[in-house]
Amino acid sequence: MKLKIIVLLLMFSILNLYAQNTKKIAYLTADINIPFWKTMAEGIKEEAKKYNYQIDIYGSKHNSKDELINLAKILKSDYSALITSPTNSSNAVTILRMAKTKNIPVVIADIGTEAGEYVSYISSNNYKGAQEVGKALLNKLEGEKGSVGIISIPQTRENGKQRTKGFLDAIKYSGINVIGIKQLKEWTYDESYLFTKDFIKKHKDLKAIWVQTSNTAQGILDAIKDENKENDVLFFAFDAEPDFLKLIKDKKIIATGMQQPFYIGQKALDTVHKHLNNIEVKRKIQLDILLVSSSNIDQNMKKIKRNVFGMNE
Amino acid sequence: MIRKNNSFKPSINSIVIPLIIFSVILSITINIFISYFNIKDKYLDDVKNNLDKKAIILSKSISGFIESYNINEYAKLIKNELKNDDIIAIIVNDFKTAAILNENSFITGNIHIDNKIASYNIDNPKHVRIIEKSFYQKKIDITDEENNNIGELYLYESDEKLSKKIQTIISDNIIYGFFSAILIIISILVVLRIYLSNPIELIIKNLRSKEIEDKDFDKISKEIYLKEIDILFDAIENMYKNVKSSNEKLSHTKSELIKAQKVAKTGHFVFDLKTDDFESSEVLNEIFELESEDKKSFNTWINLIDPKDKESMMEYYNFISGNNLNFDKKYKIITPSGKEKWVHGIAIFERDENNKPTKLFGTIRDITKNMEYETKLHQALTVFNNTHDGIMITDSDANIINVNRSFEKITGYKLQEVIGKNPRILKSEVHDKDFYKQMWDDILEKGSWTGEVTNKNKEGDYFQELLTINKIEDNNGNIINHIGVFNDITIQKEQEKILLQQSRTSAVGEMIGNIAHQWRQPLSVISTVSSGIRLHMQLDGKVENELLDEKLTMIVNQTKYLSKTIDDFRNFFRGDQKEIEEVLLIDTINKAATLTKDSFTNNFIEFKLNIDESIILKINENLFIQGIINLFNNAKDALIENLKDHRYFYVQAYKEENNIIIKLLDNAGGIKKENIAKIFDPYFTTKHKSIGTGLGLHMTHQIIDKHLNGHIHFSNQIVNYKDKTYTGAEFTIVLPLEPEI
Repeated sequence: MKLKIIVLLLMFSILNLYAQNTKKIAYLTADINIPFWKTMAEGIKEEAKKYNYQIDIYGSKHNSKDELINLAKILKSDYSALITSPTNSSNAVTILRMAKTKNIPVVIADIGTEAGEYVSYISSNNYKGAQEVGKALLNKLEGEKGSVGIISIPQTRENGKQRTKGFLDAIKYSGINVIGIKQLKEWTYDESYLFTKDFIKKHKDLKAIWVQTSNTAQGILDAIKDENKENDVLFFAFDAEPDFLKLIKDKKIIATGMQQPFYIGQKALDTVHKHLNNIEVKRKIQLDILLVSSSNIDQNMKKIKRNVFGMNE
Repeated sequence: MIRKNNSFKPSINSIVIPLIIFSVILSITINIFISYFNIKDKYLDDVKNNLDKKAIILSKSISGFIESYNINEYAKLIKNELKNDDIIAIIVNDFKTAAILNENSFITGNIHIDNKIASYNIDNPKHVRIIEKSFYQKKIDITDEENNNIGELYLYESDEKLSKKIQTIISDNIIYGFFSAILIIISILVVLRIYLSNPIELIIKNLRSKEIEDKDFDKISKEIYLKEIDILFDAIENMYKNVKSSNEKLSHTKSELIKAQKVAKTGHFVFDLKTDDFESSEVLNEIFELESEDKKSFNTWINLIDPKDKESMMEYYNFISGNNLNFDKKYKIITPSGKEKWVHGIAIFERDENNKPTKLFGTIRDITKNMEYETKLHQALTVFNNTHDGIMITDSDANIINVNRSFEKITGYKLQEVIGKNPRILKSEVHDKDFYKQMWDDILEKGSWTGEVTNKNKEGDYFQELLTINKIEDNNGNIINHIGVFNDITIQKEQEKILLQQSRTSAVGEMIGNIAHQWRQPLSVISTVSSGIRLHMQLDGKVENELLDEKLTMIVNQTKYLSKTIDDFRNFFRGDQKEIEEVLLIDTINKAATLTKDSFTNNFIEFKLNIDESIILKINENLFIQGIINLFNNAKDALIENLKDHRYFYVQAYKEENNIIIKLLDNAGGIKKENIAKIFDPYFTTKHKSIGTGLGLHMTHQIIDKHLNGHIHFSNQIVNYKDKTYTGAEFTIVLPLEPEI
């Protein structure tokens, strides 16, 4: 009799474990076509395989309406948890508010939220990454005085603020003068090209340009080339595109702080899993940024390909 | 008089301050009410306008966010909107999101609750209640650019701002009212103080002080700034002056009344029979010797009455009070100091409707003097009737108006016979016209005349009288009476004649004795010288011429001396006793001494003189010598009789004030006390009958007192002589320096 009960309980727990492993988890991302988010989705999926979660990915094409439509679908579809990289931190509040009405736990991966209740917020340590870029700039200039121009992502974004602060704190007291911070509005080639030209024309002692993103790097490189300042103005960046690997090796880009979306995705799913199994998780998790320059690119290539670009071997 | 109850009456301040406070509170309240309604209406309009405007603006902003599905953005917008304003809730119904979610509505809102902004939850009854209770609400449709309804906006307004505003108004008003009340109160108090209280206090203070001078009124008037107070003060001033002058008059009248009462020695009283209060005037208190402050009663009065008369007085009092009579009685009182006084009380009763006496009002007059006069008059009448002297009283025209019994006895006329007649009926023919003229001149000038007059009685017989006539004048100096007092001195005169003769005889005897003393020596010399001559003739048969001449010269000298002595005595006896001459006292004393010198020397009496040589006497010298010699002889006889040796006689004379003092002192033992009073009486003597006639000192007394207008008196004295103490007799003669003869 006793044995029967023990066997039943054992069976039940096995069944229960199986059922748990077929749980659905939604990943609502701002735009799945952007490599960063795509890489992050890969990270989530890769990690989900470990625990046998079903992952559904919703891309919002950087559009609030699409995001809302996706959200409405998610809310109707009985998900155990939601991982989101919202279109912006304001819309994140709406996502959290609506998820709460269905009691769906939410883990935010990158971007962040202005308010609301969530399980954990996982992001890159933008401050520390930017600080390391600043240090790399100082190393390169080797005590030389001069000025630097910053082309920033919008400073309304928390990651933008952290990047600016980290960089400025690194070059504080160094004698390097920040001549201006120009915020990207359109995120286009033209915009960054014009910003760079303006910096170069107005400031003869310009030693470097630092851009806080990877998407508009080509406009800046072209502007430096067109102004014949390839030997005078150093170019630093943040994040990475696949073509950065060659640019860094050619020292067109001196250094860049690379976020690791794949790794973030993995961490996000791991956190969801822990939460669903009632394991306490940190409310804020910050992951290191990888500072890559010509001197360390080769030895980090494997890590870069996997964690940053989500490429399989 | 100060009324005491003025402390219960309210002061100006106690009326004005509550009045101001009440007015201020009232005006504040009214102001608050008016402000409340004004502000409420205005506020309501403002709120509506503002809310409408805000709704439009807000709906436009929200419209964009709805269109771009930025739900959190418009959520933030309305939350921000809620922070600043009195809007208690803003709610958005987002049709577009609702459509995506396939629901009827998508509500996003914020609400003020418990001083916090919370997300609006339509399922929270608290939220619903707040919204339902809102003061004003506005609903507006949210449209997109094509004017499609994409949502609804609801705004709810609270009246919190209004209540705050009202509270501010109330507190502002209260603070403003409080300070303005204080300011008004202070200003009014200052104004009241300066313009009302101070002048009034000044006036009161001055009115309460005893006396206000005219200059004080001027001074006070300068301190008054208000016309009304000034008018009041003028009235007070006039009243004060009137009262003051009335008081002065009253006090003058009172003092005159008191004076009059004092003069009349009449006080008054009011006796209240019901309260037994006996109110007496100042003068009456003086008469009764009572303290003004003491309370007096009927007993106070009755106890003053002589105990002997008390009972009869009570009977009298009861009788008159019961019989509707007035008090009118003279009675004796004994004052607290024990003085007896006579008073005359006159009083009337005040009676009630039942004729029962209620009050006794009256006057009491001190008649002690009158009673004394009456007594004296009675005494005088007794004297008048019973004296042995005849008394005759005439009127101013010298007509007899009264005579006494002695008059009737002496003159033989009865009163009825002489009344209205002139005293001339008594006149004899003895005195000439000049005598009577002199008499009447003296009476007129000096007021009286005294002299011996010989008159004729009813029988026609002469009688001698010592008459004194006095004139009696009234206060204006008019003669109203003459009073003649006389005694019959016919017999006395006879006796005096005899006495005089006897004293002359006695004086002659004394003189003869003295002459005998004086003559014994020269006669002895003459006898011796004559015997000597005879012896020479018998022995020698002859007397040499030279010797005879010498001896005869001696005899002649002695006879001359004898002759002179005779002259001296004759001069003394013959001397005119009326002739007045100026003599030096020392000469006169020496003359007297010469006359008695030998008898003093022979009896070993030391005779010492100490006379102020400047003293001049205006006297009849012989008369004076006669008086002095009697004293000399008296001393001599006493010394011989009482002392064997150390006999001493001392005469001293000096001026003292307007008198000449002559003192004659011996050491013969004085005169016995029981005899002193009698020494100047005639026929009194302590001497042996062979030497004393008893007239010597009487004569001297007569001479000094009557003829020389002087005075002689006697005393026993202690005398120190030659280291021994004796008792001696001292006669002192006092003569006026300018004798009025």
